Amino acid sequence: MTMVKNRKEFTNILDDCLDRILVKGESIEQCLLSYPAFARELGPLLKTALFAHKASAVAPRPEFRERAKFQFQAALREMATKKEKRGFFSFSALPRFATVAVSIILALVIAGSGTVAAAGNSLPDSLLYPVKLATETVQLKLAGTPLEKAELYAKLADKRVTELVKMAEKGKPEQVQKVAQRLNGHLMAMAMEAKANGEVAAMMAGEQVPMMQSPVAVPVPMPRMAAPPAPAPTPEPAPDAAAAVAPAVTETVDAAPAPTPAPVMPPKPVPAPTPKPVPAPMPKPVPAPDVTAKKAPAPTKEKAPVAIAPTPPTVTPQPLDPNMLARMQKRAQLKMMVSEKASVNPEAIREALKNAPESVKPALHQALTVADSGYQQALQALEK
Amino acid sequence: MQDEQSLIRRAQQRDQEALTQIYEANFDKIYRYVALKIGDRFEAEDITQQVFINAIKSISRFKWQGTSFSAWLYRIAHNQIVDYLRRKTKRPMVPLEKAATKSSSDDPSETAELNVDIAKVAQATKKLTKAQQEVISLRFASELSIAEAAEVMGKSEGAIKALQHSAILSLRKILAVE
Repeated sequence: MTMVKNRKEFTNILDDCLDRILVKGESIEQCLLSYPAFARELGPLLKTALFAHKASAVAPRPEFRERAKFQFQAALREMATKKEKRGFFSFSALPRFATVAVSIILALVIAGSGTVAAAGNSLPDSLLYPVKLATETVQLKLAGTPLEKAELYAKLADKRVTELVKMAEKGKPEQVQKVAQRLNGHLMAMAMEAKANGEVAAMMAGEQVPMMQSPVAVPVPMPRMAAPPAPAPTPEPAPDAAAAVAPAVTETVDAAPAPTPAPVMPPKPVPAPTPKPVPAPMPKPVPAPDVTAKKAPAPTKEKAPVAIAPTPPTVTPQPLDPNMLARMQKRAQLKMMVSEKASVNPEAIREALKNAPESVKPALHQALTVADSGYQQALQALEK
Repeated sequence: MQDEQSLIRRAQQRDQEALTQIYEANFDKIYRYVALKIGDRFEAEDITQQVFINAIKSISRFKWQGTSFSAWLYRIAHNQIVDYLRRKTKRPMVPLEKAATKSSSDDPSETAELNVDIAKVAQATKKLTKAQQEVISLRFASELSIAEAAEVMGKSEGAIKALQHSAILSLRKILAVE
């Protein structure tokens, strides 16, 4: 009992000293003077605690801090915009099939008019610009595979850079900033698509994605790139990204978003053992190898007929799934394209900076940071 | 407390200034908390960012029912870390020793020394129990008070003090061995 009491007293003393040292800035010696009876035991613990405290004082890199803040602000603005528009119409209110149907109808209607062609080259300060963005949203909706989406995002990023440069030439800092946000959205979404094969990327760009769900059936983006709050590349009719991301929590104080269950990772491209297609040895069509499995399924030894003369097992290279091969090729092409853009587009912004009016330069600098880090992330994602 | 409540209420109504204020006040603390638990600089950055995105998206669901907002925020961070650890891929880690530190020292030897210390502590904390790791991260990285740490961990203040004691004791032993 006395030991427990002493132990409790000691934990209180330890905490008191920690408070005095870490919060009030006293020295270890000063504190030990207050508790001479415990000094011998207390001293080493306080030194360890102080060491841990000092060592834990890591600070985020300045460039990350800047980028994170920029993206956070963009997410806030995006949410505000969505909130305003939600009252009128929202894609998120529709079921997925209806969203696709509406998108197709919209695409047909828009494509049927001459407006879309005229809007194609419009700039952010133009009246037709919203039409251009809406068209892009539809294009994204209609893009089939994640890699197609990633490619489309890469192309949209090109457009944004062109717009950035033109807006800078016109001396319009607000427009430059807005376009930079969209550029950020595209680049982040492209990286996400490239990495996670589309599980979460569309959400970054304002699309509703039904994958990577938490136990409460709410997508929580947790890829390595930490799902930066990229603004949607287009205004409405983009689906409600906020609703897609917001963890649906129970109405309790424990409403913190719960961790998502372990997702099924997309299959990594497996280098083909032989590039040549191997003719299928079996008369029946062979199912595509399950690349998600770490090991090939164990051969059914017990059912195999017993061979009289044992023969060494022949290892027949599995024919590469043509779909996977196509995906790998597409991915390689995309990587080359992004790699080229990663140098060309930031360079274009740097060039624009040289001649831009002073009022536009801060926004252009921001855009440059976004472009540099965005392309870097996309390339990293494509490396995998 | 009153101020915090009013700030959160404004934030729940999507007041951008209030949300930014919350972000500014908690960003570094959350980053350090995550960094010490993850031990990887880039991952810590990304996770931190995601914590705030999740927070602003679900802030309207937060309710004052005896739990502080920061406890709620740390729970999001904790969940995010759990998520990360589950999905951890083979991506090369950038250990904490390469991360920037608070020190603005221009002396390279001093900075190098500090970096080694960070790596030591990050490695050592991995050998502690989950609860001890949590206490060390909350108390020394995030600089939360005992009361705040108790709220985050859902334990009594006495339990946190005892946990803190055992964590420092273990840390001392581990660091002494290494």
